[in-house]
Amino acid sequence: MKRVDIMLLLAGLAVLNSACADESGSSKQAVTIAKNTGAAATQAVGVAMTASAAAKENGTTRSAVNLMATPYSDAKQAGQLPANTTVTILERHGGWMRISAQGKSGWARLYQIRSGEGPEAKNTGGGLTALKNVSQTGRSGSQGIVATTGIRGLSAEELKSAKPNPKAVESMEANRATDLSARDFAHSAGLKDKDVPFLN
Amino acid sequence: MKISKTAWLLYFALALTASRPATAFDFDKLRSVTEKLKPLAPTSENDEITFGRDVAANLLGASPLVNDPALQAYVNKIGLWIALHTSRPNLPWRFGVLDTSSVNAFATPGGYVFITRGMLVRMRDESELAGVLAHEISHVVAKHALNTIRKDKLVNLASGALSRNKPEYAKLVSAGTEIFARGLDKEDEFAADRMGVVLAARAGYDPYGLPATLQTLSSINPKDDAVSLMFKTHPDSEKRLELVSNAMEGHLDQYANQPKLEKRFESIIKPHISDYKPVK
Repeated sequence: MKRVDIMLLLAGLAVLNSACADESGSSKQAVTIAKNTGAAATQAVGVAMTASAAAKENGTTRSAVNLMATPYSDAKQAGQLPANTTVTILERHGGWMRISAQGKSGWARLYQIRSGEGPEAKNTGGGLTALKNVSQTGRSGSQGIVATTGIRGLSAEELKSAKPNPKAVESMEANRATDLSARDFAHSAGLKDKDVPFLN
Repeated sequence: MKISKTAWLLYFALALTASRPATAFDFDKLRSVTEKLKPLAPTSENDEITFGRDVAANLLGASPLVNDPALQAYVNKIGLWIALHTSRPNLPWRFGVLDTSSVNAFATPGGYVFITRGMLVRMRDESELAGVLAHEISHVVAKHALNTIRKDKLVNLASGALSRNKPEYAKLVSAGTEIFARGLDKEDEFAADRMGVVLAARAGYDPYGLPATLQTLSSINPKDDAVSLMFKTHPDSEKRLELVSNAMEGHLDQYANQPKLEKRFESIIKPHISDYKPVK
């Protein structure tokens, strides 16, 4: 009986492995995930895929990247991409993102990819968005920080010369949460406590 | 009979020599130990809270809060929920969104935690917000700022030393505020990343929210004014991302399917911060 179970398991793994070997399309991707983390992961990744399909995020490789067939560092390699390659980010899963470029696709670690297109994207994206944001919200803050000439954020100098505003601290009391309201809000969204030990 | 008499005598003699000097010795030892320990006694929690509130007042003098009670209440509920999963759930945890386009987050001793509007608008979901708040909460729980002041100023933060009626108090509040401009030790930042991802997982979130935010930060041009202070006061985001990802591997992967709460985050942030458009 026990031997039969093991045989079945091995046979199952063999089938899954063969599926991994020629993985290229996204339908097979779900199978490779299932192999490692079970059916729940497949569902979650399925959801992530639909969400990211609409978003279409681009990124750039920071250095040469060895693509993995599954989001695990001991997974099979699925090709290599050189540094500064513009890639399409297909989905995210934990500390990994599935990317595609130059006809290859596979999983890379989050830190291997910079968001945005090509090396030049780093010089435009964020700043303009933030500038636009300040100008459109019209919120300028008590010190009259306006965005007409550029972004003026919170600087070290401003912090050093700041005059205390105890009234603002006082005003925070009005928006504080109670243990009960915080718990209810978390539970209403399906968040559940987990017993997780600290990392070393 | 004779033997037992000697035994009794011996017992009394032992009792006299051993027990009496021993009590006297123990008492002296106890007194010397308590006297030695006294200067090392930690800052009282009340002093820590008052001090943190005064540092927070300075921070709010440099940047106001977003005038939006619903948004502030949202961040308070998430923040407190995470703080309830620490060893200091009973601190008077208060959370605030600062009205600045700068991308940053701050914490003061005693449980005051702040995130900037500029950081919120770059986030994709609630697990990212939870991750950043958890990082700041970790600084408070581990007393990183207090320990930095103790080291830098060589001050003895014994019980009572951090109270408002001490002449050096104002200087210490300035030192506490200066930390925002100078930054903590980079090891404290790495430690808060490692602790923060665990707190997020404990609170039921996908713990990769913090790494995802670090990935966003590491993609912003360092010359961008919005990130200049944060980049100046924190270790390289790419390095942080790499270190925390490595520490998580094999330990927190199993929680990666916990909720990110993308929809709830968007439904609250969108109407409250116009032109909310996360980097996607």
